[in-house]
Amino acid sequence: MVGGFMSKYILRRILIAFPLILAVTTVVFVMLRVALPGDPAKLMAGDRASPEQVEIIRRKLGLDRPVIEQYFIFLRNFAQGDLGRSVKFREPVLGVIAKAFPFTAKITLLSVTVGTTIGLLIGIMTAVYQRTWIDNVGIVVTVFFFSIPTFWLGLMLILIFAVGLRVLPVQGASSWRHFIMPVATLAVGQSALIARLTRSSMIEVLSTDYVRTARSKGLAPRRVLASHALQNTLIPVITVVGLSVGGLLGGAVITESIFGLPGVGRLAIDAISNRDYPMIQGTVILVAASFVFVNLLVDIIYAFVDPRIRYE
Amino acid sequence: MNKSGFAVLALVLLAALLMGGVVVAQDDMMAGKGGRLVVADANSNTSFDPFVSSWHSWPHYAIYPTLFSRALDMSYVGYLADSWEVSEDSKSLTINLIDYATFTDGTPIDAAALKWNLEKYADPESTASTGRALITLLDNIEVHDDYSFTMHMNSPHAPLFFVLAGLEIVSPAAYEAIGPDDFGTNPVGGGPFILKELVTDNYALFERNPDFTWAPPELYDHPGPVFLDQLQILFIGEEQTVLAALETGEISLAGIPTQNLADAQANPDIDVHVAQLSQIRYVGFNTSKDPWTNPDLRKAFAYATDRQEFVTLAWDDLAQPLYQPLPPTIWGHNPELDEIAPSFDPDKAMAMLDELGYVDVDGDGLREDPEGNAWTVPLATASPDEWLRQAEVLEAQWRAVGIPLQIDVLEFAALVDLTTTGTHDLFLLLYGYQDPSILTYFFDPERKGGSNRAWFSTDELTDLLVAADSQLDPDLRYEAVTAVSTYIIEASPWVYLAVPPALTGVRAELMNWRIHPDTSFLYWNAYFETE
Repeated sequence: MVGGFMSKYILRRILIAFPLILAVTTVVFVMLRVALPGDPAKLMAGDRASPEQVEIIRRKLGLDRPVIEQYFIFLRNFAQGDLGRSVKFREPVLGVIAKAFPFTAKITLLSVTVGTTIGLLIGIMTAVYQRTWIDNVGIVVTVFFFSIPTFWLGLMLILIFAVGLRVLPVQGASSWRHFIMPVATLAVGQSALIARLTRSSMIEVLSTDYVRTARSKGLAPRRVLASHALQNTLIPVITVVGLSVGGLLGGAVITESIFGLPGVGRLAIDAISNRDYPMIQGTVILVAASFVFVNLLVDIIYAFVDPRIRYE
Repeated sequence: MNKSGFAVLALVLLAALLMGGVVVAQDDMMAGKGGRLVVADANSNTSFDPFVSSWHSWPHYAIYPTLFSRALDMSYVGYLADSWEVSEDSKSLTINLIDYATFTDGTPIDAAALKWNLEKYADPESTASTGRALITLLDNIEVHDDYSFTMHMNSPHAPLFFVLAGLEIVSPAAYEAIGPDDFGTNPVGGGPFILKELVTDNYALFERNPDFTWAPPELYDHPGPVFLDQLQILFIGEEQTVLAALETGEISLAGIPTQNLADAQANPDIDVHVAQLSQIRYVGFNTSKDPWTNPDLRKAFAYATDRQEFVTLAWDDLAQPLYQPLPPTIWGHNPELDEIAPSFDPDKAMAMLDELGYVDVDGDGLREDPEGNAWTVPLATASPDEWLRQAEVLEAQWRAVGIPLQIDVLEFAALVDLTTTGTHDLFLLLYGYQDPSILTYFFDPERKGGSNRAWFSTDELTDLLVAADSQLDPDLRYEAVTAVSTYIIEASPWVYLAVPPALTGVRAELMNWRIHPDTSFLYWNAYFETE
């Protein structure tokens, strides 16, 4: 029965996702054309183009039509899985995003996994050994990690491990070694966030009656921690991890730029600079879809972690 | 076998020996040379189809040849063109092509191919950002035989050779077979390299074109093929990342940020080349909007600007102060014009502002407008730190004579767009080019709302620009360009600021490279020593 409820819930969430993505896309579509200064036709034509030449390019890009007509053309193509051709690359948007997404997905999953694991360990340790030197060191480390700007950390890692020690490559994405520094850069912040969250959540859980009862029954401290406390501690952590994954799947712009990773974030920023409307729309759809998917996944995981949660 | 049979056989053997000798000599020349040249160029991260790309740099000129090239003395020399002749009325150009060049699909680079290319560039529906001059200029092309043709123009055009030196020649057969949608990712040219792999937004990898033997002798020691085995272009732009990759040897060539010059020069693995760009930084006024319609007010700003201090503070003295619309790196620059141009004279600037009614009424050190109201001078600038620093230097200099500047920071595309609206005031921008005809684009009355960002034109200036652009005789053209520059200096629609530096770092392992006076990197004879 639970499986049946869950299937219905997932189906309902997927159905809700479509109008949500459509709404986001519509807002972006209109904002690009109405509120964002800068004309893609002029940028594409270059400095020396005459007004007539700019007009020809505008016509070829379909930008000479009323916004509402452009929107309906976009919707029709979108429904057929066609997000248009990039103004800059002259390649199908979907194809370009499909090439960039694996890089972003890889650093997202790796950095969130590494960051969350380290964060959980630090968080649990500092909670269990609250008000000891371990807790103090943990707090200092997490505050430090949380305060480091991504761009600074990325450049420092490059200077130390690539330029100084020559053990890792500066840029690129052709081997696993290329991912070590970008993943470390993102994982540091992630671990600090998770550690702080885990610590406060764990302290709260450890002071609850059911944990006290478990202890008084003579259960080993490790068992109390693993079987009783940790599960409830994880619920807020899962929410934050989900938000991090959703955010990073839309592109870790600074990290991708610093390490020359050809991911979605860099693609989106370039697209905005070049007023590459189809590409901007494509990346926005990806970000919206990522958030919807990850949120759905988080809700499903909730049900497994916390038996009290039911999607009926 | 009779006598004539022996003679033919002897000739064939001799020819074979000679050809063999040439091949052996070429093999000898290439022995121990090769490697992969890796460069970073984020700007080249566009389509490789020259008819749609808005940027033409490394990949394009690796793949495609051009009709002409520029020698080290900046004169035009043949690349695909073997010889040429301009008609007496300067309206026709007859070109004889070299007869041994081929596209990499095996088709010949002949007169028919050139006609197809030039007509495509001249098509009003073309969206090519180069060769646009041909749209109004080219009347027709007359093909005489396989390797010669004449371009008939509607009027004489001084920058014709400059235009033709920039036009990339593609294989018509390949373009028509592949189609415009896919040619950008499957380009076919006849240049020194062939595209091997393109990973969009990541990198492009090129291999040596083994058939390429038509490099211009004025620029290269040997005609080709190039010594390098491969060329890789990484589409990365973060300057500190690029610099770090240069230090580790991951890339072989990079622009050096001004603040990193000393470190790069101290690094024994990097050779540093310092030059000036064919580029200028300037402040433009919207001359269609009051009070910037007044040339004396604009000139007062020029007198208030200390270019020497500007280049010191903004570029550690690596840039060059500029007092006229063309930098020394663009042909047509006349150093004598610096004498007549407004240079730093704060007393004169203050006197002019006083005379125009901009005086400090409330005693706060800043001037009010002629009606006595608070005066604010908005200067729109791009957001990167380098630009902001330059705007702040100007703010300090102009504040010293009582000009209250307000810096408006915009994203680059938004800044450019603002200048097309006509509602703007002052703007800090740049231009980069290699021919004085650029001034036509900036002061053409038809381009207000486009590239004429100062919204400045007069009938007299238009006549001067037309005269400069239609004079093919170099001496007479120089005089005509000087007249244009003189007029613009006098009218002061811009305050010319500086010629930025071109700082190039090259790995010491790369041999035999050279930097062209136009700051392009000549690498076709460059190589890494190989086993």
